[in-house]
Amino acid sequence: MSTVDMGNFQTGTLLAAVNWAAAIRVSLLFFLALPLVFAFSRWISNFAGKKYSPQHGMIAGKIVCYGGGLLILATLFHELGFSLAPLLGAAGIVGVALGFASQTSVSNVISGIFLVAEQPFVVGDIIRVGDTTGIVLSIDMLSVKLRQFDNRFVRIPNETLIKTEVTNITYFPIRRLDCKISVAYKEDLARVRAVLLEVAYANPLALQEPEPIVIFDNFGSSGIELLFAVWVAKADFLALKNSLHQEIKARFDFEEIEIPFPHLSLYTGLDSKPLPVELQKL
Amino acid sequence: MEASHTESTNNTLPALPWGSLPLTEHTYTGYQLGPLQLAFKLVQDDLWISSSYLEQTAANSSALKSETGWSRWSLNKNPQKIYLSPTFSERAVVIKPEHPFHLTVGAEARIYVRVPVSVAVSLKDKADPPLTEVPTVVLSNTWFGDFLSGQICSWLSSTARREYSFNSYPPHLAICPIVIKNTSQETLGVEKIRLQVDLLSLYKGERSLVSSETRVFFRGSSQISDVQISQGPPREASAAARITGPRNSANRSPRGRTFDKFFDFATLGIFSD
Repeated sequence: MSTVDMGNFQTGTLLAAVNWAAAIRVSLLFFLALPLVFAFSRWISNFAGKKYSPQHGMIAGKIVCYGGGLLILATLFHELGFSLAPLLGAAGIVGVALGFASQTSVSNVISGIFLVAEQPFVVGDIIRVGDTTGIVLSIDMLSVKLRQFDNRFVRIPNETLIKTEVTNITYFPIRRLDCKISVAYKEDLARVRAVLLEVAYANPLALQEPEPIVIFDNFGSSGIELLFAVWVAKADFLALKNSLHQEIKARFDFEEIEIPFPHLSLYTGLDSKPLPVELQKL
Repeated sequence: MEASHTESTNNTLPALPWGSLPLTEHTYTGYQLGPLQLAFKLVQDDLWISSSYLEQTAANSSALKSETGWSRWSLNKNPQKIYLSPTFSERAVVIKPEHPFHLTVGAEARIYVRVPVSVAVSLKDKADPPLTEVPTVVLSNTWFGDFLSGQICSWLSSTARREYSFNSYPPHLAICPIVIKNTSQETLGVEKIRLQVDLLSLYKGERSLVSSETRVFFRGSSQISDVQISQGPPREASAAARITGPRNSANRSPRGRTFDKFFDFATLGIFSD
């Protein structure tokens, strides 16, 4: 390369100094290869998403995007004349420092790998973690994103999911709807049971099998507590919950079966004597 | 068009005809098939279809009518007629005989169950897919499988008669002959039968609709039963003309298909005691 005289700038020397081939390669890499990688990662994400599952599509797309991007970046550096060897050397020292600083992040990444491999839930499932319930939007490297039913966005670190109890509400194809019903002590339980089962059998969303059941739960303080369990396909859960409770109420009203209000009886000490009340004019 | 509320009615509509049905613009035409009341109205290029169901009350002879559901179709051009044909639903039907029975080793039983059909409305004769399908009876859901996996089916309680004759022949019910042969070395207890109605054709018999015959060979509780669907009408209605073909055709024998995918399960599942 010709020496450039700073005091007497010559355009020709500058132009000669430019390695046009390298410039073309860098341009191609930046303006062509990089967008191609992004487009390919989107395509692979769609393809894998349709062929397997949205989660697989997401993972495949990210692998292509990050992997391809890193490769192009390394090639760019090489073309620009930067040697990666010193960088890798320094990375070793930086890596140790970063390792201490990023323990949590690394733990999240490792946890994410285990989550993907174990598949306790997939994108689209409804999960409950502690007090948080939501639909899984994505399972990413560091965290899982949920959309709650009131459209709030929740980010849960993967490490948290590995360490805590996660309930997948939509894992199995059918679910049981448990209705806690209280009836007055004076009611005939056999009749109540028959009425509840009739309501279940008449509702087309309630599965005939597994059969609905009525279980005696408790002698409550205000009434007899029953557990009325009905099975339903997971997609119909909400629709059944609404319609069944409505139908139970309507049918109880028709059959004059009392659902008691919580009430409390006060005694002065003698069962037979009422509580004395004195009214005074102020 | 306002939906009608639950009301008591003694009015009966003319019976729903199969085949082509001419339409007149701005004229509301209603028909009845079993508990289903179906009505059509043509307004310019819009076809309106309404459906409601009658429920007989035990208290009196009048029927309670459910809310009317309307659907509206904007068509390419004003059709002169529509085509109505019976069809089975996509879902399998789990039939519970009112009286479960047992088949001893080597025994064969021929039973008849009546399954409600749906009405397929099309703009062309034998169009696939149709414009819409309206079930004549809304059957309850049931689950065929275990708690971990299975299939949603429709539930039907049936007398599972051994004779082909019935006291009455409601036009919305198709008689489905099922032959069960116990080729295993154990007694077969029949409590429920899953009938894959999407594989059956429908024929117009003398007094009612009939379907293809289903033959199932029970090979033991640890093996999958073999199922065969007859190609023509059953022997009781050998002269019946076919109205509707099967919704799904089995490319291979049902036994072969069971190895492909769990939900591609064409065999007749029989639950034993």
